[in-house]
Amino acid sequence: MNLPWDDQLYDIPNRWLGAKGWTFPFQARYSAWGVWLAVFLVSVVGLHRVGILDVLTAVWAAMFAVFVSWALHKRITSETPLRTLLVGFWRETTAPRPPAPVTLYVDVPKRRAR
Amino acid sequence: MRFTGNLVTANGRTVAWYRLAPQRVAWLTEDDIDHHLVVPAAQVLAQLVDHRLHYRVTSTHLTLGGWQTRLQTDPVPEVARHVAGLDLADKACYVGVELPRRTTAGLFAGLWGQRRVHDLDRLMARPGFDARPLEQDETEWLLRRSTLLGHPNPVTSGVDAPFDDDDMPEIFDRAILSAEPYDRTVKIVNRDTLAERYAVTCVIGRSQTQHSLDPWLARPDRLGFPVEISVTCDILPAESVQRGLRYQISRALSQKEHHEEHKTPPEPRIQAGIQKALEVQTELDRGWGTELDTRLEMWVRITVTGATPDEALDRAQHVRDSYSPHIVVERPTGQAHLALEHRPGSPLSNHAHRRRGPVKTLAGAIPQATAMVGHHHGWYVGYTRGAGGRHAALWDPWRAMEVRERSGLAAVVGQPGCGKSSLLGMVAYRAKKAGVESTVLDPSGPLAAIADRHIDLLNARPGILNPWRLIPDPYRGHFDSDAEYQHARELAATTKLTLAEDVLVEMLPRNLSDQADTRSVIHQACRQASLAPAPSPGLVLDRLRLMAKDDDDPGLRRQARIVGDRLADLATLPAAQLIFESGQRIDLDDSDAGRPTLTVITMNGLQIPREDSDRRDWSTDETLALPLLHLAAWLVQRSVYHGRRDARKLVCFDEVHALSRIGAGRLLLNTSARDSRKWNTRVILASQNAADLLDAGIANLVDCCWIGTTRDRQAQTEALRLAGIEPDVGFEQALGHLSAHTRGVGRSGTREFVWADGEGGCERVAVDLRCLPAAVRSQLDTTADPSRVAA
Repeated sequence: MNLPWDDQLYDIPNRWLGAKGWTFPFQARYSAWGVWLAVFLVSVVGLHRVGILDVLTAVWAAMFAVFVSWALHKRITSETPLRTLLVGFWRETTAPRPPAPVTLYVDVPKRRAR
Repeated sequence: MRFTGNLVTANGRTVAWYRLAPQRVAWLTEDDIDHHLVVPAAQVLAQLVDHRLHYRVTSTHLTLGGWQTRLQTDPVPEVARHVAGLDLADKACYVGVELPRRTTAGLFAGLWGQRRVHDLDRLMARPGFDARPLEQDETEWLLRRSTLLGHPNPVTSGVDAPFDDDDMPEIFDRAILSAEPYDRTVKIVNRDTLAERYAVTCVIGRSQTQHSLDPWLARPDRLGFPVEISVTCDILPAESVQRGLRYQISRALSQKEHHEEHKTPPEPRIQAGIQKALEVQTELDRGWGTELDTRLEMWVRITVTGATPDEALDRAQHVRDSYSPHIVVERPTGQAHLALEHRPGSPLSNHAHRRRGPVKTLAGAIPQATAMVGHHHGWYVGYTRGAGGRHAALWDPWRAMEVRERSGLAAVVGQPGCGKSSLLGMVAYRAKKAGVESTVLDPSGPLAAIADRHIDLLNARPGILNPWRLIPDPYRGHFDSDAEYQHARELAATTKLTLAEDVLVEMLPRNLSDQADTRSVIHQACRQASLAPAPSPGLVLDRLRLMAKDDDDPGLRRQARIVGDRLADLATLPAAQLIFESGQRIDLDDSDAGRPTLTVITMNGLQIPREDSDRRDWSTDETLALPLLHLAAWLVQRSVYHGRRDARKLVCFDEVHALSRIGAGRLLLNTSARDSRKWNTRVILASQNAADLLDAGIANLVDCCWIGTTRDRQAQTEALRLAGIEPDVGFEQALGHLSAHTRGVGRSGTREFVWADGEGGCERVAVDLRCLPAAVRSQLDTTADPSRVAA
């Protein structure tokens, strides 16, 4: 008897190739587009708040969003969706830490000279 | 968190914990595994739809004290210390079933919860799981074990009262668990001993289709170090599966369409996904096998520990290698919380690496699969070396007769050098130390070194093998009625006569023994001799001479003369004197007082003819060898009837292949097998070929069987048949690889056997002579060592 897994069923790629008739020269997942957009918007808002938003910085923000999205999606797979990465990060930050070394100070009364 | 009995409640959810009965998968066919393990377990899982299950696999490492308790019947006191140093563990597999939260209606029904648990108990006890609810003490042990991962066996408090929130720190605070951010290991410190262990938790990732012959959750057992496994599993309702399936199908079709829009070839994964979705959909829609196709999702954690972070990481790599390449094992982040998941009642720390599949895939993991052979208490004989991991193999040789009311026949088969004599010697030495009266027929003689009394038959007093004296007369006190006693007397008289006849016929050349008149004259002579007060084959010779002179039938006269002359010639040989003399003055039984415990009968210099040799080519010594061996076997058999019936006895026969060639020998083997139960005697028959025992018609009486290295294909099949293992399904080759010698490596000294214990257990076992004192070990070592000559 074979014992199958359903891995193939949940490992379907989900890419957006572009609008109809306009195929991008690259392929990216829908989630990558989402992350890019979110990071880009946050960056633009941040730049605007700082007061340095112009075309050049906006392009840099777009490039930065591309980098963040690419870096994140190297780790995002059907096995480890974005949410689980965030949970993993949270687990790391809240893991029990080694007890801090305790320093004891003992006051030794000075012996009175006789 | 709180717990009472087997119910652990945490975060508002209650989990009922059960212990799964260990299961053997070694030496079982695929059909057996499927029908008796996988399918029943899948059916139980399918009954638990909408439940969350927790599997916990761990091991119990006994301390020296624990081993001393288990090995208290072992007569060699050093054994417990030796075994405690071997790091042998027993596997333990638990499963927790999360009970559904009570509904409002349920709150009004007072016993609702209890009834629910009772139903669950019955479900879990079904074949495939054979699980029983944990006792309070076991639940506490599991919690402590899961807290102190990798540390020595925890000790429970012995408190019988329920544990509530206030009591839990007493368990959980025994360990200080800590990790640096994104550390690869977790440090677990035992607060009592301040001992440190480092743990690494791996998860099962992408997997290919498995085969039911390979219980994939039992794979780490082969690694030789303890592994902790935790599996959280949700059995999904059909609607949820269908919903998810529809979503995945539409996603895959939409992707396919999207690629076609852009005239881009779709990735193969899309097509594979659609194909898989359609397969699953078909399985679910058709309705057949619905139970086995019930879907689940699960998260599998495998934790290894080490004394240092490097050791733990190295072990994690071994786990990864053991699953490669069909299953990917990964080491994710969040190690501390993953380690905490092993504690019963802990929530899932992360939903990453979710595995999905039908329930039969989890059922086929058979986490409870382990090496199952031998008894819980008894003599330590070695350790298992099969796929089920390394566990101590204990043998209680008299359990078959005293508890299971079975025959006490044990067969040891294998080619020369496979360790038969060492095994016999080990058992005989233990029996001697235990004060059990033991008799060993060891023609080649190495076991004489450990004997209390050594009888070298070829130098013994004439008449010691007189057939009429070898069969003991029944003792009235051993029988309940006169009729039974009388029947036994008649049986003994017949056996004596048959034995004498067979032995004398066996001494003759084939052309003479095959003649019908030969047996007739010998039979008549034996009958007349048996009427004498002290019958012996010498007396048979006298009767033959008389027949040669006085018989009315000239044909018989002639035959009696020929047979008589031939036997008379043989009778002049020194070895034949052992048979032909009456030996009336020899006390075969000794007196009970001061009787030696271990008697070894040897026949050094006996030339046993090769099994495949033609009888016409035998020398006189070879012609005499078989009758001598048969009679020696009967001499050994006498010891079965010594003393009280209930007293434990041990009888071992080596070179059984020679015994099964003639009727008297086969009769002896049958008698031994039959009487072993009534006389509480463990009878061990050693032979090079299982066919000797199969031909003797005693295969059905064999209680347990040890198969050593066997390379001949036919002999392998026969050995498997004798052990009750299905032949012709591929197990034969494994017999040829027992005690395999590694090229370029010196002598290993370890002898491996496949041991079928007669109680359903069967596993590859390495016989461990190192548990015996060095002097005894050296005496039992039959391998040539030139350095001993110099010594």
